[in-house]
Amino acid sequence: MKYAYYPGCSVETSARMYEASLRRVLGRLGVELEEIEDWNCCGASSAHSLDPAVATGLAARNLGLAEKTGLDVVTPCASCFFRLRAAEHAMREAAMREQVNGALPVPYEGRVRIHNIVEVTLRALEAAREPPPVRRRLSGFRPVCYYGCLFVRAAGDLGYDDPENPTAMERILRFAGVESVDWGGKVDCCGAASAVTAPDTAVRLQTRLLDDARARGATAIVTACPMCQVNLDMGQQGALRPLPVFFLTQVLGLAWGFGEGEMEVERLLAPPDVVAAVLG
Amino acid sequence: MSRRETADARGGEGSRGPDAVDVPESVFLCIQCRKCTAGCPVAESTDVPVNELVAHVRLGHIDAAVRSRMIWDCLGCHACSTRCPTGAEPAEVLDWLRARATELDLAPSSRAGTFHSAFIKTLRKKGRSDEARLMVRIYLKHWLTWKELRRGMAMRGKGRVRALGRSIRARRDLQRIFDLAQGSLDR
Repeated sequence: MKYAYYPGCSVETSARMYEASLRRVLGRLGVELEEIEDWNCCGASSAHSLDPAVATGLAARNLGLAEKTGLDVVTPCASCFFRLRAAEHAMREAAMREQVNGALPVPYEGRVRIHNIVEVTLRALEAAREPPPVRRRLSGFRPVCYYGCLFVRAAGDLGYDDPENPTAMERILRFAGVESVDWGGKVDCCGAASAVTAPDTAVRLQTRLLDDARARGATAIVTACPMCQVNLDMGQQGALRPLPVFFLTQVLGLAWGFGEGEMEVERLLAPPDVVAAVLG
Repeated sequence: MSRRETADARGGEGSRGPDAVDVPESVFLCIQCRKCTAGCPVAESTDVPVNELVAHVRLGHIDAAVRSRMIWDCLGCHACSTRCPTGAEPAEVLDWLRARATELDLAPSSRAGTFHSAFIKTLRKKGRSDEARLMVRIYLKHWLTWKELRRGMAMRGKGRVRALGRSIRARRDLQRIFDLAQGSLDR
């Protein structure tokens, strides 16, 4: 299976280990990625709050470029997934389509489907005749799966999961021999930009999440959203016993025999001894 | 999103006074069930809960709505729109209110008010967002706490803070997309 790949800005910087791990893990699953040529920022988290046509135009430029390749789009970022889907929907309205396409180098005709990496990983695993064998037993690893807001709330049918009680990541982790801990924070907000704009709000929301995860006996958090990872990772910086926050693809890669260096585990802010202890 | 003209708040149903505006049509679907506010992560700390904002817009009280702190407290999580049983789209109403407030130059001088304009400035220049540059723009206007500095240094130590050197190649495309804006986004 081959996709037009829309990385999003955060995998170039704060979520570098996400990209490093997802490329290897998807490669192992036979999923090919063709990066969209000269892609631009989808506009999250601001353009849609300032002007609907600009927000749609920013995201739709990428859709037009992807459409030229004839491939469906996959993105690892929850915010990008949300914005691309929102633009795809907005462009179904004739007035918006006409206005925005007039400004695009490659007009968007409305033939692209947009997927996120959780969905693509799950579908590839379920379709595999022989899923990758587990080479490293993560024996003591008891994570909660954290979906956050925007992966499950994008426009259109999610198709593969329930937006209020998603289970795709739990199902995926079973292919890595990992049993997750059920909890109540799956789709609660990590605080998003409030980590910068209103730190008290971020602390309040994150404390609630971390307390619930701990109370259920979790030793780590697994997420697929770059913003959730950064917020929870940075929010616990300096804490005595943080819950390390892994990207889903890092955990898959480790279980399938990739090295900790290849999965860039050292880029987590949690102290290395805590990370080593939870991986077991 | 389609728009419908509100009745002027003072003139009553059907009349169009100076306050009448085209508001997002979805607000007329609201039944005030408060499911949006029940799931809103900032409901307990903000001034006007999201269900009341929708009610304000529906009644044409746009001034009260654009001056609320809630429109800048909103985290954009979309729990409200996802859980709305009638399709009133409170999250889109909030986007619309932020756009109006920006047009009217009502964005507050708080960090929340600075965030969007700082974001847009970077994006407009580079075509990509650049977390390092965004933080610098915000911290040029607001005090940085010791904790924030320490966290930033920790991220930098892990190679997770990188300023993007180059912009995307097609900067002309960006200009044309930004020209679609109704008002000025430069404030």
